[in-house]
Amino acid sequence: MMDWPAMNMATAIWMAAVAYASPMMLAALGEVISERAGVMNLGLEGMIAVGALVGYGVSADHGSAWLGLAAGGGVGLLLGAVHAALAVWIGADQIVAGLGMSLAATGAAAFLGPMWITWRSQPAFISELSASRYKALLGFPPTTYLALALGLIAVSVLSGRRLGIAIRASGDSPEAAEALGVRVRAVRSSCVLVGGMLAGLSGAILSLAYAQTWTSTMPNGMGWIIIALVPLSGWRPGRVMLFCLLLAAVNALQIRFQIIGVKLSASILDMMPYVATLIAVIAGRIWPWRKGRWNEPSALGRPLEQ
Amino acid sequence: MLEACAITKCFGATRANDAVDLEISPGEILAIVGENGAGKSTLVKILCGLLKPDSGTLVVDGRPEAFHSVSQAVSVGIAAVHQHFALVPSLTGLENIWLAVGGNRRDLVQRAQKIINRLGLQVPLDQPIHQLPVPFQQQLEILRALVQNCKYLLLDEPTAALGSQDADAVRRLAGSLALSDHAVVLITHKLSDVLECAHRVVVMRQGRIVGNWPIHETNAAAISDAMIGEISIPSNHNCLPNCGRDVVLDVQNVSCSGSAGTAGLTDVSLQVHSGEILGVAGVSGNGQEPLAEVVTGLKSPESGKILFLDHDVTYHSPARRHRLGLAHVPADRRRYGAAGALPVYGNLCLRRYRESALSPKGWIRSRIWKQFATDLMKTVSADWPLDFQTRHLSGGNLQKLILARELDASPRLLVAVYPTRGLDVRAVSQTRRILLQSRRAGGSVLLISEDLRELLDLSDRIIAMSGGRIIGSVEPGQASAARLGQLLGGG
Amino acid sequence: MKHLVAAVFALLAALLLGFVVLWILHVPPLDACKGMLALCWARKMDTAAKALVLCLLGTGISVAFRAGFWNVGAEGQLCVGAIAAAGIGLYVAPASLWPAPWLWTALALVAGTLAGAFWCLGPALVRAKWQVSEVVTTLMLVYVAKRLLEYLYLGPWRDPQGYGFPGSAPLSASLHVSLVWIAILTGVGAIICALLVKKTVIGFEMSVLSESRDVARYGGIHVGRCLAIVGMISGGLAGLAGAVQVTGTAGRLISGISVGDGFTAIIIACLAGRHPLGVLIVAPFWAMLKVGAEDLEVSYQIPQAFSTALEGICLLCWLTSVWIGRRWFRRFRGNLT
Repeated sequence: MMDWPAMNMATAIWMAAVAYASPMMLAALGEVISERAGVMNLGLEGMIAVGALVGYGVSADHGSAWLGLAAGGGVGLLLGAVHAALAVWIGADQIVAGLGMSLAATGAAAFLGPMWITWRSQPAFISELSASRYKALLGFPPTTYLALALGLIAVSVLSGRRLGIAIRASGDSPEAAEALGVRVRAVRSSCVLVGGMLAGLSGAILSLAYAQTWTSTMPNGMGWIIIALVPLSGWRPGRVMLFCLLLAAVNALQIRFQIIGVKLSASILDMMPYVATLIAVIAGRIWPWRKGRWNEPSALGRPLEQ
Repeated sequence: MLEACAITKCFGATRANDAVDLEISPGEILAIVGENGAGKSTLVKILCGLLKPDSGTLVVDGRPEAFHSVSQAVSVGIAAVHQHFALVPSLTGLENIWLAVGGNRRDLVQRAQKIINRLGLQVPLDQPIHQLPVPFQQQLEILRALVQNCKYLLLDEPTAALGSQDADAVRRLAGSLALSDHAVVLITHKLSDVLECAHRVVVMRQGRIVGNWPIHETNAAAISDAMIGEISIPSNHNCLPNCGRDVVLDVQNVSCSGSAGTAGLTDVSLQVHSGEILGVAGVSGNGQEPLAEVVTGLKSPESGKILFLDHDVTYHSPARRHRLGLAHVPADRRRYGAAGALPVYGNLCLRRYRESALSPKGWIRSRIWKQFATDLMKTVSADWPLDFQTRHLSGGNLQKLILARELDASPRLLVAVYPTRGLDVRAVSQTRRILLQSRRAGGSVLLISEDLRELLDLSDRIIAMSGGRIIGSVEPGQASAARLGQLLGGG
Repeated sequence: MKHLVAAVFALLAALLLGFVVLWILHVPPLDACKGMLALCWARKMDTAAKALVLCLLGTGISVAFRAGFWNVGAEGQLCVGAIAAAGIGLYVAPASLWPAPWLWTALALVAGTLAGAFWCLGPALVRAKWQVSEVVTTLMLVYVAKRLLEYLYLGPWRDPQGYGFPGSAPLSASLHVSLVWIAILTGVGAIICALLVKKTVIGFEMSVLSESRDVARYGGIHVGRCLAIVGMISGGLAGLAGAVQVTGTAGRLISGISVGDGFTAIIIACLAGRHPLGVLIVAPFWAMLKVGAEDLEVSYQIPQAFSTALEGICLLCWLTSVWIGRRWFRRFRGNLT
């Protein structure tokens, strides 16, 4: 399998990393936004799973990958609404609500998927999102640019604008924000909705642009890795994207090792991203970021008190 | 003109406000006094739109209004500055104001700057709130109200957390606001606020207005009689000095880092003698809380040594220090002092649950626990139901619970941090009495407080802290508010 | 009582939703239900074993949740427990099983328990020392443990006489434990845990710790030690569940060891109000659902993940019903005063 002409190994790994990083980045941005507003979304894994299934399924039914992306985002929005209702409006424990969402959604995807998706090799709609169709894009699929653009928007919204300030205020001290006239519940719910939409979109990209097929184990822990990366990056959209890229590189490296047949079992290689995340998370707590203007949202996980 | 007619608000069976009538016109400073629980906070909350009254009407400039939110009240020109500032600590002053006001950022800066210049405020707009001292935070709150064109300003206990100089500044500010045709409502329990700057005073008790006089027709005695009846606040002045010369606590050159934007400790040394109340004065955030944490063992110092009763306890755990006789009334009583979800008796046993008298061989004997808790409650003459969830206790009762638990085994040293903060007059008086009792029994107290009056009333000796250092001390007999104010102001 | 009502409501709501989904998929819900129950009855031993495994896992999780330690990685601890037990049974025990087979069985169970306990001790310690979120660490370790399990039964421990079938060699039949012993173990474990959380000083420390780390430190509770104990109990019971599967039901290391029971147990612990004895009541229901789901697959081509989805939905329903319960309770109390 060493027949990649004119492309050395490092470049290939980085290309693969970027391809895998773009769905990761989208979901991670969504998580950053919702955690900045003070709501943990542990349902990420499930939202990505459902996004992946719906994205692929709708594309297969209607023959349009772009429609699939929209459907993925839409179903993510719906799941986000459920999480917002539980975590923001009825003040349920965000950890339990997230775990429930995760189980329900991964279960639903694994249960509906096999009944919906009939396997075909390389359906036509896949090529709509493939890099080779867009010569101007330097070999990356358009979804990568979508992720980057959304990342820039997230950075600019969170750091400068009044909306961003309202979001951070809702996550830092919701009671004070409410007294300043911010409608904290509304802000939090919209952030969770956006987070859910981005997670769904990320799932759709994962199945349509990255894997180009759907499998029942689809996100395979990606959601949880993202949840670990968000605190590691100090809840900053720029840094979280960087970490996503690094983790995606670890993943690409491990896949490459499997392809070229390193003398290690695939299962052991498969552990690499998880072990890397574990080490990074612990190291990140031992040597935390210098405290600056972007500290941990201090009301993270705490509902607004009446 | 802002008029409130027959405002009534009940919480369960208690009438927090009972047919309250009030009116205030621009250019006037109205003081509302009364002990906590008299209903003045409730009244403020109703006026500024945080609470809806059960009955009664509000008339603003001739139009009847019913507020559903704070922003509605602001839109007709009423704004409140609460005791706990409604500012987001991680944002800058400007961002906080922007959040409340909206609009164009550059216009806002100009408007704010104009008001700052007119009133002579010193608050910086571009620093995160948590780095600002309390007086600046207060100025920001007032600034926000003014930027929002509010004519009626309700200041809830504006001088409670301030030293005398800063309190003077607030009174002057209220005066200049009144001159520029704003109406200022001062909610306070300090008579000095009333007498020095108010034009009119309203006294509340048990939800009713029991006095409403122009300031020149009344005096301090009349007001305090109407306000608190016969409660007197105990002080140390008529106690005999009780200090032995043996050192109970010896803190030697201790340094540690502070948390998020507050000062740590730099080379702090102090000694507490037996039977002595050592007061620590200073505006909070200047190293008092790290000092308490280092002494009680919640935090390890980076350098220096702590001797307690001649034991080197620098790296002892809090439990070990407690066994040696060190008790702690924490600053944040809900965060540190008691677990809210546990029943009252669990929290009362928190210090001694391990002892074999209460839990033989590690088994909980709930009957013995409850008996122990009942006995403890008697020492502070309280009788809460034992299974009552602790989070439902009021601040004063919670403090009583903590004091009962901490003073249980006659500790050699009590570290009391802001022990009367946020308590009503009755609870303040009880708390002070308990502290003095413990001193009379031979225990020492390290009393950390922001309230200079309290420090002067209780302490045998006072040291002042600023920026994590001890900047001076005042020996017994020489202490006065002016001397302390000088010390703190100079540092 | 409050917990019980909320749990019953949640179960009913989830079942109703399940019925609706089945009906939408053109499966007659009542017939499906009947089929599931029939299958559970036909395979009552499997159902009972599943229930016991879920009890062990749920008990451990409820202890952890009581201390505010969100151990969501029981699945991983179960895997390493199974690995350790299988390792003892296959490679440490001599072929003659000298001096007595039951000794080796016990050793396998103990090894599984210890493996699970240490797998969970790591997250507990890093949480105590550096406040690393245990949700993340325990979950990451699930993926690591599952891969490890996979590596072993596909790689070095694969049965040479297994015709390439993925799985280790079967354990010697005399190493198997009977369901009765497993039931006794489970019952004793649950009772010990219930006594621990309700009647001992450690249980009190756990309840303070779950409320607030700050209060615990202030009260002189050794946070690290308390978390370590909780982590080891919780992980140990999960590890024991894994060992029980190897020595009791599966008899070897196969992929069927890890089918998401560790996640199901989270719901069981929540529905049981985090009470170890409550777990004993709730677990059999889910065991029936999980075993019965196989009938859905065979008779109606509904994938087994249906039961996983139902678990999550049940947890969400539970949160909602707890909330509704609280509201009603408040209104009721309001009327009294």
